[in-house]
Amino acid sequence: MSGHRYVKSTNPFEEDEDIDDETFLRNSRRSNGAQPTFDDQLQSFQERKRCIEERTINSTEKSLSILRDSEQIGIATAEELMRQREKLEKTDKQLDEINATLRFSQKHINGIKSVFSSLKNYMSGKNDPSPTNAAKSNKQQDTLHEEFEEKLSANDRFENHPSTRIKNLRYDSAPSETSGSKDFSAKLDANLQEMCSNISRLKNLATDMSYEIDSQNDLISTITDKAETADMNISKQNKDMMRILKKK
Amino acid sequence: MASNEQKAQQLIAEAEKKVSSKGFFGSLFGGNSRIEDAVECYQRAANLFKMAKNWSQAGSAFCEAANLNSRSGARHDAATNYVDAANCYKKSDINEAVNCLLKAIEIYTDMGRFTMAAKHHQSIAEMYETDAVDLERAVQHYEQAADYFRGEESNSSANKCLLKVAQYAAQLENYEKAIQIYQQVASSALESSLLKYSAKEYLFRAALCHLCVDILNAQHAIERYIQMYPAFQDSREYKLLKTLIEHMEEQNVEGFTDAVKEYDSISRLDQWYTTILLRIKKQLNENPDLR
Repeated sequence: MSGHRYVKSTNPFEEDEDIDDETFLRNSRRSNGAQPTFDDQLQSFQERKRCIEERTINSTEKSLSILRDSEQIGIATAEELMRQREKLEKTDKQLDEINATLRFSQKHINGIKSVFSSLKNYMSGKNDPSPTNAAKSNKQQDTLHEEFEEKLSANDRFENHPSTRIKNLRYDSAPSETSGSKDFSAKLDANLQEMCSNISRLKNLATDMSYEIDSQNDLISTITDKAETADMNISKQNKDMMRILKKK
Repeated sequence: MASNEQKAQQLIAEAEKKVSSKGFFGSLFGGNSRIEDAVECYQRAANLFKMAKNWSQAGSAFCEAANLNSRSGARHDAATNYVDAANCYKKSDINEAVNCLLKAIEIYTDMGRFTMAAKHHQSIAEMYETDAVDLERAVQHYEQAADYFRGEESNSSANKCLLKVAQYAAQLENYEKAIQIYQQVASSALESSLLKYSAKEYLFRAALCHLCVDILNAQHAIERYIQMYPAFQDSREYKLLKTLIEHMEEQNVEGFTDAVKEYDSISRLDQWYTTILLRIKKQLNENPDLR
């Protein structure tokens, strides 16, 4: 009845009988439509909400798997870095040996070249302790490195500590099965928490790797220097030998 | 291509002539340089065969060069020639390749170059792993390589070989060995700041091998691992282990499969893990609940 009056006010030019039929029909459509549309809207909103929740959880799970994959790659890279470090340190030691041997051979060549230089050799006698010095300086570098690593691991423990406390609380409260949205937010929270811990682990791994790479860069530059010295010495000694052999 | 082969055949004939030089005078005067020339001829011939992709001929030419070198005492060169020969044979005849590498390894261990020997053991093992699948021999060679690496203090290379040994040992059902190795590598990894992130994977593998043998032992072992490495407790792997143990105690095969599937959806389980987990599941099916 109220709808009928409402319609009449908006359609002033229609006649009553026609209005009656049409407005009655229009009324009935609208009044029947008003309540169903409200329910429909509610349902469609709820469905959209469920879709969005599902998508969110799916994307968090995908992020988790991507994070774990990157962690695996990081771990494999870290292991390779350690292996590389071992090889670099070995190369360093062997270059030291090469340089020491070259010094000896230089002395022998000097002795062969002329009488005066062989006298000089005899005077300057036993100058051998240089290789052991190099080994000692390496050990110093190692202890510095270990201090760095201890500080890093102390930070690690500190960072892990409060977050693990929080995590323990979360895991106690998470598995409560109630209505849909509570379940969803609990799951989402658990996933986000896991993502957070994964990301902090990745960050620690990356920081450690960057320290490692920096120290390896230093190692590589010392190795390059030593290799260049060895190269120069070898070519010089080769020339000397050729001269001596041709002379004799 | 054909001309390369012809040139190579010519060079080989030349080299053979030089080696079988006529008797007394040849060996007195030009002995050494003849052999070096022959070696060079053989090497050039082998390179030409490589260009013509005739791998077995190239391999045999390198082997001849190596024989000559070892006869004349140039052991280093002989070993390098054997390695080249093995590289060529890898593409045609794996057994020959392995033989050549073994000869090279002999020379290197004689000279005391254990790192090189270890690297070649590793290559042999990789060949047995992929091309001519013989897991037992691969395991042997990986073990040998790990021993040599450890002798030369290259601990991370040694650990790499040991991990392969453990992987194949578990596949061949030698669970004790695998558990030992994984535990050892994990405890040494925990001491290094970079490697400690990989410790949880090794402890997870060790725990799975324990599960293949006995549940109670596995539980004790997992307790020990948590003592060793407290952060293991927060990891997904530990949670999976706990759920698997629960389902195993209740003989709940479906729960087991579901837990594994859920873990797999987040982080892929590779073939080794699937094999071991299937074995554990089979154990579940075979052992009826006596309680």
